[in-house]
Amino acid sequence: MLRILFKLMPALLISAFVFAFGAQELHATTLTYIVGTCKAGTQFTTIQAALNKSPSANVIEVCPGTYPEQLTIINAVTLEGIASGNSAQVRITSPAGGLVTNATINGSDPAAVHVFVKNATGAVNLTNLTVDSSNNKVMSFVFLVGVLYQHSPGTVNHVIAVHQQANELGYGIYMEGGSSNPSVTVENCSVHDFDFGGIYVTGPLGPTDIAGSSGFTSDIPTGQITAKVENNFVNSANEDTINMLFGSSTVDTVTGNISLNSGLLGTFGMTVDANTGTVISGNTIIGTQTGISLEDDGPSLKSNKMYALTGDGIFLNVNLKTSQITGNTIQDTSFDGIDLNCKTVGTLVNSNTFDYLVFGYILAPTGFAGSNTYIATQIDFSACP
Amino acid sequence: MSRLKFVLLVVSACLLTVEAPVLHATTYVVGTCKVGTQFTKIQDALNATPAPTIVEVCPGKYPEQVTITRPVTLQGVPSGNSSYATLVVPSSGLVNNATLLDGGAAAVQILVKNVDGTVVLTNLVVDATNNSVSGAQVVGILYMNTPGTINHTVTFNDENGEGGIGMYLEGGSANPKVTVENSTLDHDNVGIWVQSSSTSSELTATIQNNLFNLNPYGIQVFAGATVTISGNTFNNNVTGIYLDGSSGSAVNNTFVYGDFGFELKGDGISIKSNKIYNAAATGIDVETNITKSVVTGNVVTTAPTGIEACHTTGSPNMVHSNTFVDTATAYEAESGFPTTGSTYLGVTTILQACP
Repeated sequence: MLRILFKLMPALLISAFVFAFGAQELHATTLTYIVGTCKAGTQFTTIQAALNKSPSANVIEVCPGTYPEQLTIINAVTLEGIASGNSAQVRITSPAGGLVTNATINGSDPAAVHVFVKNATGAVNLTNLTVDSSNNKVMSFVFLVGVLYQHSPGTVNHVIAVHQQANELGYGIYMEGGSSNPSVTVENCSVHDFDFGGIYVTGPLGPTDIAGSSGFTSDIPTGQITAKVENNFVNSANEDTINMLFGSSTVDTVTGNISLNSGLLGTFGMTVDANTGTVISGNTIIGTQTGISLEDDGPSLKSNKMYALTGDGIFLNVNLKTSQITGNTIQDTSFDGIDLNCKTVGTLVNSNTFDYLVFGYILAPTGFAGSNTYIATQIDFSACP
Repeated sequence: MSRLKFVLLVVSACLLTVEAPVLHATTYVVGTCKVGTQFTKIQDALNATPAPTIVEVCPGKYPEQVTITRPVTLQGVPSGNSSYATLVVPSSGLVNNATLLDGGAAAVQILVKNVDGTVVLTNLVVDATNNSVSGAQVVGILYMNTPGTINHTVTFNDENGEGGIGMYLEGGSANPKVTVENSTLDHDNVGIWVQSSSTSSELTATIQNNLFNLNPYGIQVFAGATVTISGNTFNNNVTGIYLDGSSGSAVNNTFVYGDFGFELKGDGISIKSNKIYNAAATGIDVETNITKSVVTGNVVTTAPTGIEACHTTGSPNMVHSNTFVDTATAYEAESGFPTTGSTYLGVTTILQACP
């Protein structure tokens, strides 16, 4: 008998290990709370109550309905809206008293954040939620943010952020990095009716260069953020708005997004101040004043399509040593395709297509050349004076 | 003569015969930007003898109404610092020079009329600004019973009190095949109109990778054609695509703004895998009973109603497997309409009963 047991010992040990490990996995995937009554399980009436419950849930499923809450998430969790009956909308709205100031963004700016993911060490995933910040009652000089990931990793998928409007300081989705260099994904989201910014990805001090950094090295933030921003729909309804911004201390993969405006003044499809390694490709920008403004050397702009803009397709605000601007198509724009702004570009700008424009390139530096395609373009390029 | 020499001679003769049409292509130039036989007007080059194979148009403005009756490639060419060859309205305005299928008169800027061979238009701008047309439709380009391709061509401002059409593709007894691609239709009352006089197909139309900007209607298709509409972008057209007859498909198009992505008035054309954003009214409005058209795989994002299907009692599986994001209503249809198989994200009401 002992001999048999001895022979079976390895198999028994493996089985025990597998059982224990498997049980842990099983436990991890089954700790689910329900908000609402549409599904059996441990039920809560508010989302925040489910988030605060101990032990922490891995998954919180939210039944269709309206939830007047301002949420703070500090633990790793998947928070997802689910369909039930004839509805598939989980709408997180402003509480009756409005949204209160509960965060600091950009290093020092006070903000009222509707869904605040704060210093979470594990992934926080949000999916199938509508964050509607109507009636927010946010005070003057306080920023409003629909969804803020601050120094937290995770994924925002199929989230709708709307009505982030507060004294022209409203953001839809804001991903701010930190010393742990979190990785985040924003995908398949719909962001519209904001009055300042749609989707922002920034370092710990916000979009420093664009916000007017003093330029001192002490201003350079520590830490960064790595972001994938894919297949989102962003539509601003206001003047002087930036649909998507990728700030300094960020490394971003930005692809398949639709960035839209109805031709209002001072609107940007994308503003890019990100680090080397960032690639902005395969996006479609329609109707903004400026398509993409490149603020720093490093990111590449490739194979984007820009239609019916009222200003520059691409505006260059930096000398290029690394960034490549290639394969982009700018069509039916009432002014120019690419404003080189007399910057040094070497051979990094080429193979772009200009179709039905007044100008292809403007303010091209001396000696600028490149193989490009000009179709129905009144003036292919104008030189820097 | 050895057998080898004989074979070589025969092969050489064959090669010469194959190459001959290319060597004998007749190219005329409109303008002075290139050497060759030059003309000051496009119509003069088209009318010249021998008939041109290619007419190259230098950058510039050409105040003409042009009629094409022979196969030809008419193309704008870049020169110096410009690539902008534009037909503009003559100072006296446009005159009526065609009759459309509805019997109405039309003032057409480029009339391609019953050509027994391919007509290709490329790299041209056709601008109908200040057309001064009244009592008739203004039309940028009319292909009448003629095969060919319109590529990288712009029609602009084809509108007046009677309507206005950027490109009119008319079928006929020759059963022509026409392709419109990589072009811009901007500020026309209708971007592209497709129709034949027959209820059976007398035209094969391919409309792909074009931009439709600020037209009340992007595309209108009526009876008598087989159409493939794909890869187009529609910005702020009141209705992106209006379908009232014919057969074929509309796939992988993108729509932003406007009231409707599609209005399906007549059964026949399928609507598949399109993306419709920010429609002010309805993403896809099925306004007829359908037994042939299939509406599937489409994504409607941000709209009051995703798909309205109140008028169809046909097989309900003709409308299925669509995705709705951020719509107040996904389907507006009769009670019992099958909603399983579609995807709903941020949808307030999945099935709304018809009024």
